[in-house]
Amino acid sequence: MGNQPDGQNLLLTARRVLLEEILPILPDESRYMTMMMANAMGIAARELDAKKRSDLEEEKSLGLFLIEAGVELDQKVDCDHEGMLAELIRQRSIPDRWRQPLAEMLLALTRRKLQISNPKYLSM
Amino acid sequence: MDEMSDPSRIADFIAANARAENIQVTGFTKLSGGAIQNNHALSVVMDGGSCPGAHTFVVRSDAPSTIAASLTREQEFAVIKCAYAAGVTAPEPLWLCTDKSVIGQSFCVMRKVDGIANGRQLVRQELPDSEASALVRSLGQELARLHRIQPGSADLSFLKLPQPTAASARIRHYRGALDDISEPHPVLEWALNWLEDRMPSPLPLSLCHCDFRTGNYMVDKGRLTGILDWEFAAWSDPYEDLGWLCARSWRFGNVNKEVGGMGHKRDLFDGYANVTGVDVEPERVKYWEVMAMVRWAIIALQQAQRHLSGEETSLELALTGRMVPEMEFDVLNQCLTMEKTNG
Repeated sequence: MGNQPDGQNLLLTARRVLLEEILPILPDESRYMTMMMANAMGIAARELDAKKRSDLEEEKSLGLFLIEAGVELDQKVDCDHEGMLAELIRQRSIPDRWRQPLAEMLLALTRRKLQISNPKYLSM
Repeated sequence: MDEMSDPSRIADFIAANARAENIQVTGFTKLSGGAIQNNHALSVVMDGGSCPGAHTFVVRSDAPSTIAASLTREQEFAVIKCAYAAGVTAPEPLWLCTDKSVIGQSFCVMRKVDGIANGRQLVRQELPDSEASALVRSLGQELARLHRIQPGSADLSFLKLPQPTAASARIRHYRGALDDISEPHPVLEWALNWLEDRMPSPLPLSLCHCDFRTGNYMVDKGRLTGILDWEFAAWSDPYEDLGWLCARSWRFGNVNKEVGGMGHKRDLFDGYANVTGVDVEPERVKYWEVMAMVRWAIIALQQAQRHLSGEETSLELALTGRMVPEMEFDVLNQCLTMEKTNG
């Protein structure tokens, strides 16, 4: 338990100041860089928020998929399931009957990443 | 690049090559764009020689950071000369200087073309439909003219022939690139398997631009004026260029205009077929669009690595790395849609 306001709150507050108070007084040529800064702060804030809630859940669902697909998992909690999945796909070790669930799982994984890096992209 | 702060040595080089009696520099500015190359506009007035009068040239030299896959200035100059001679609207290549004592590195001089290349600006312009159709048709014609150049017909022996096919060589290369990146990418691994399982029958190799997209061609008053940035040119499957141009990642938000956010495939394919006499196969283009998005994802990962390694600390490079899920999302959606359509 850290001090309050937490990192997410600080980032979002600083981002709001950047966009609402600093950006309007900056010259045009600084606009692109400032928007990139705001974007980076938004991503970092959403990532902190997601970490608070779902890191373990995400690993669990990926882990469950691998177990159901017949993969023997290292039971360590910090086992890198995404790395293992990438390796299994490269080796073509996931049985073909898991084709559809695998595609769905990869889509879900990618959606979760987009929720952090660019949620607007999901509705484009 | 300190050598580039004073253009007089470049001007002297130009005067010597144009056999001008006198040359006067009237303008020298750095042009935007080009993470890998430095481009400067140089305006001069020359007396006598082969091209007297006022001219504006582009001087292209290496930027501090180079990418291993890109061509040297000398090689790029040879490629542009070859494309220009084949009737492709590339900026006219004039002189190459490989003598590093002049400005510290090789550079080439090309005639400057008018217009804008910035992808966002071009897409935002919203050309009238008839102009957009004509522009996109001309993009097809340009690619078809370029693709007429084949390994036997051009002296570009420094370009390697992909083995055994262009698609399989790309897949092998991208797997190798993923091995060099510590973070796992199951979606890209999945996409590479997908591409491997669906490789179309190979076509004869052509000279491909390999970065032919909105942002790398100049448009002035709705018309194509020049195709830029030839440093990734290679012998490849001609559909690789069509796929790169149409990939969803290069539409600058204008996703319904499949050709680089500028227009429609029917016009591109019409223009292409008009020169080659052979219809474009839309499914092949879609296959190479998937290849294009995988390639762009890998380039984005490599750009993030440049930031992470400290080679070039940059917010832009860092954020490019975080764009990868966008390409992965597009890849998955396109592959799954193609599977549904084709069974």
